[in-house]
Amino acid sequence: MAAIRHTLQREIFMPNDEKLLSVCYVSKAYKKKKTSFLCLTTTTDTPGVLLLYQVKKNDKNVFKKKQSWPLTDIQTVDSVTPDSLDLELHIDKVYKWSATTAQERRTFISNLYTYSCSLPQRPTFKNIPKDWLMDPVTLKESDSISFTPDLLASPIPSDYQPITDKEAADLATLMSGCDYAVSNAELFMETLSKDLSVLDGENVQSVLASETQVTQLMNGIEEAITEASLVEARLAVYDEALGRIREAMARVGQKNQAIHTANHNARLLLEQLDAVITQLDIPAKHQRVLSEAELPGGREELSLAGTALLKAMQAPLPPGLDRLGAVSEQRRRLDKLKAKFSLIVARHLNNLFIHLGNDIGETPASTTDLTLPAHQTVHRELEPYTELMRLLRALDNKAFMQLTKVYTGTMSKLYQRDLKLFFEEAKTRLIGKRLHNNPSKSSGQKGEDLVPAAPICLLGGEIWAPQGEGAFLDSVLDRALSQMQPVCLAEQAFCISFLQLDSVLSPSKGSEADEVDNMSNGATSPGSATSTASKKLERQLNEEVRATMAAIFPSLEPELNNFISYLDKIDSFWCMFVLVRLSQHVMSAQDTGSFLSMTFASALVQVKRSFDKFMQAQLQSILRDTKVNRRNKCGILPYVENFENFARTAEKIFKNSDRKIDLEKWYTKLVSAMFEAIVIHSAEHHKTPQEVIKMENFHHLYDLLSQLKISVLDHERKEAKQKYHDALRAYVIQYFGRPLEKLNLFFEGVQAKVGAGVKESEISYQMAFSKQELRRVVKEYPAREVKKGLENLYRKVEKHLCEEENLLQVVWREMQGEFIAQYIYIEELIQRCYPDSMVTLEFTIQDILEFFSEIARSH
Amino acid sequence: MSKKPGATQALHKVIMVGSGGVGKSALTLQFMYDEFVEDYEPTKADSYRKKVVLDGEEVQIDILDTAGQEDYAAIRDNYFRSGEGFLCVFSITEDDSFQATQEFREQILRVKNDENIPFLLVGNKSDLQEKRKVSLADAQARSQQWGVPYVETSAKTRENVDKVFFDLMREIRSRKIEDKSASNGRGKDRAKRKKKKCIIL
Ligand SMILES: Nc1nc2c(ncn2[C@@H]2O[C@H](COP(=O)(O)OP(=O)(O)O)[C@@H](O)[C@H]2O)c(=O)[nH]1
Ligand SMILES: [Mg+2]
Repeated sequence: MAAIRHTLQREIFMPNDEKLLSVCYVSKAYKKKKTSFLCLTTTTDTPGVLLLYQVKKNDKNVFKKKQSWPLTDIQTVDSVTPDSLDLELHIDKVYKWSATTAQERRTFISNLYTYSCSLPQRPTFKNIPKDWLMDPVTLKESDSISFTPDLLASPIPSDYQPITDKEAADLATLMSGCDYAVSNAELFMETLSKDLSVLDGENVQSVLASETQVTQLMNGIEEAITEASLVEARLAVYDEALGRIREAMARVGQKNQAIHTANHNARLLLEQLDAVITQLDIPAKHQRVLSEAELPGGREELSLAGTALLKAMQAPLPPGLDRLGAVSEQRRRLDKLKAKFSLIVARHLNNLFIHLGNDIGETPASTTDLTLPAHQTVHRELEPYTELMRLLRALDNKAFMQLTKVYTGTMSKLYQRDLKLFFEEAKTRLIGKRLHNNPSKSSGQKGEDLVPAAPICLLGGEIWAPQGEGAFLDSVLDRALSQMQPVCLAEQAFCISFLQLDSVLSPSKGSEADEVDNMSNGATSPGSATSTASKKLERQLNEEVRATMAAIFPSLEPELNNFISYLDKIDSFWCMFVLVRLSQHVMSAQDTGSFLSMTFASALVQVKRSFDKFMQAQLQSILRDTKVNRRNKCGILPYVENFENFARTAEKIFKNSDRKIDLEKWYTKLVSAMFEAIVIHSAEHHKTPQEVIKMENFHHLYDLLSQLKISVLDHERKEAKQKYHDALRAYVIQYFGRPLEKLNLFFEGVQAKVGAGVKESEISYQMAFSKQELRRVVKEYPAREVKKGLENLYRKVEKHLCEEENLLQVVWREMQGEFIAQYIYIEELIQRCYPDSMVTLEFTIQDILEFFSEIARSH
Repeated sequence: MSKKPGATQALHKVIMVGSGGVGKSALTLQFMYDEFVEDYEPTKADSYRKKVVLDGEEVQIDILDTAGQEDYAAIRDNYFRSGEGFLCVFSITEDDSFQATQEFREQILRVKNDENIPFLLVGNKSDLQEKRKVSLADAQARSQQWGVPYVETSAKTRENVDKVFFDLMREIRSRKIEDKSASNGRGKDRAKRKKKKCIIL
């Protein structure tokens, strides 16, 4: 600021003989960017004119006067509020500025005031604290130093110091006291110094007079000090007394606390005792019921009382309280009640079970179908006791287990009898038809031993007449399986609720339950732990249910297996029927873990084994059992022939079954075994050539596979077609040569020589292939001979081929084609190797065609 | 081999004739296996057998599917000879194949030496109407001239496929019955039943 002030003075005001008195850096109010300097100046001539300038700094950093007002024109100076930065000047209009610092504003306003004092018409100062405004009259030089540092700091020279009004007045009074003062200064001075010395003397005197007073004052002070220390000592005493009281108070507080605690404890104890007593107490009414109730009449009451007893026995006692004499006594009493309860329930249910064990079960009267009786009555009879069973289990697990054993024991006898009758009936129905057909056999009920197993009809066997009435077997089987389902499920559902198989683990398995508990509580990842724990629990429950069911139906699995294996006496394809039907039952079962499903599943495993064994036997029989016949023609091999009916039967059985894939696996094995077997067996016939056997059998197989349209065998179908064509080709090539054998041999020799590098034109110089030799060979085949040879060939082919494959025309057409091709080939070789020999075959194409037509006409 | 069904079961032998590519194999496979083969695989000769129920009677049909073109017609003599009935097939989309039926017909008559041999003129590929080259009228005219039925078939859509085989089997069957009673009566001489032969110029 000082620098700016200096610059302003030097650059703006000095040149105009003006002097800067005070400056304030302001910005237009509300427009902080528009800054300017308000400068208070005076002209240097005497008396100076006071002016207020607004100076701005332009873009080129040069100061320029913008406006100026004589100080007299300012009407009001308003600081708005004392502690803001605002400054309002009312001149020709109201100018609103704000200063940059409060100090600067204050100084500026003070200067404005000070300088305007000398003016005839000074502005009004509004909202300005009094102490800012000092009349220059009251100001001493020293005051203004601290007060208006701005003025002092200003480079304004102090050689001109106007005398203030007060000074002037004082001076005037002083001088008026001496009329001569103006005229005789010397005298005036003398008077003044005389006055001064008088005053000095007075001063010294008064100082000396005040000494006694000072002593007095000192004494007073000393007294005050002693008083104060007295008071202090007193205070210390009080303080000590108060300290003792505090200790006493604290002790009282502690005592109070202890009383509270004792009270609280007593209340708690009371509550506990109250709880223990109410928990362990059983109303007299219940006690009576527990020891005297009669079943079935008192069932409801007994279960209410039992519930109360259970509650009392399981009441959670705070640790240690159970050592109370009264508690153990009450417990003994409860134990006695428990024993009575257990006795009543167990005795009654025991008798009831045994009584119900004679139930015949209900069979719909109307039906004559195979039926397994249900035992809904037993369940209905026992159901009301479910609650008592639950109580018994909780109260006396041993008695409960015992009862469970009795129940399963009686029921197992019941079901054992039912199942035996059921399966016997099923068997009778199955063989009933057979015995009907075979009245010579005794009409025994124990048909089992009389009926021999249906021999499996093997693919390789000569005679293939599968025994059986598959559809009937299937319907009896389906009926049997679907009869078992509802009976088993009903019993299972009943057992789960009646024998409490769904409640969380019996007390005997407490340790395991704890383990499960710990697992679910303390595990780090509670989610997975609980899920595995619950899964474990579920498995355990399932196992328990299954174990119970197994105890109730001990004979189910053996009876079922026995029945299933009995079916082989009924039908050669029995294992296919059972595989399909049983797996359908297993697949459609809702609860895969149930006892019945597991029983079916394990039976299914057995059946699958039988099926595989059956198929294995079929597979083996293809090679092992097949005997190539001794007739004149081999014809179609037995397994190729048998496969049609075999596959059609199997397809019918497995239609729509999801077990089809098991069959299909075997199909491919069987067919590839047949492919191999055809090749092997084709070499074994004493008359029919190998190629013919292959051709006819592969043709048959191709035709069969085309008809069956078994998609997994599509590849085999194409393969069979190829093998058929290959065999046809091989047969034709091998046999067509016969009618011209020597010619063929001759020209094969020629061909060999050519192949070895002999020029075609030089063949005739070879000894073995001279023209003479050629003529000799050609002579052997006059047209007559050729015709005879062809006729023989035709007869031979006719003899080789079997009627049912009907390939004669196919083969003969092929042979005719081949014969003509060979004829043309030989003619060409003669043309090339013996061009000038004039040798030709003794028959023409025309002759051959004529022979063909003649053969055709003669058949 | 265990059964001897042939002993009592009737067996009818049908021959497929016609130019190559007209659909003889396609018709045969459709009739035999209910399938239509798109790709063309030239046949030489192939034999099929099937059990069918013809008007309530179980019979067997033997089908000999033959090549269209042979280098030497005489090769066909033998299998023509073995046939009891003929399906003479042409494609309605190919005039040449229609013209060729004439030659087949003549050869069959010559070999069988029988004017009344069971015979059907078959216009195949009837599903390709937009490509038709042989008019229905022309085909019918020829069949009337020969005194044989004319049927249009499609091996692709199976239209009339069973019909041509069954119609032919019926003709064969009635011919056999006729022959039996004829041979019981007077001597069996087919030449006597010959129709007036048409000479085409
Ligand atoms: N659109 C159509 N195509 C056919 C029909 N019959 C045969 N074809 C096709 O014609 C071609 C020749 O058939 P093919 O049976 O081999 O004739 P072939 O020589 O007489 O045995 C094959 O590509 C067949 O798919 C038919 O009725 N309709
Ligand atoms: Mg063909």
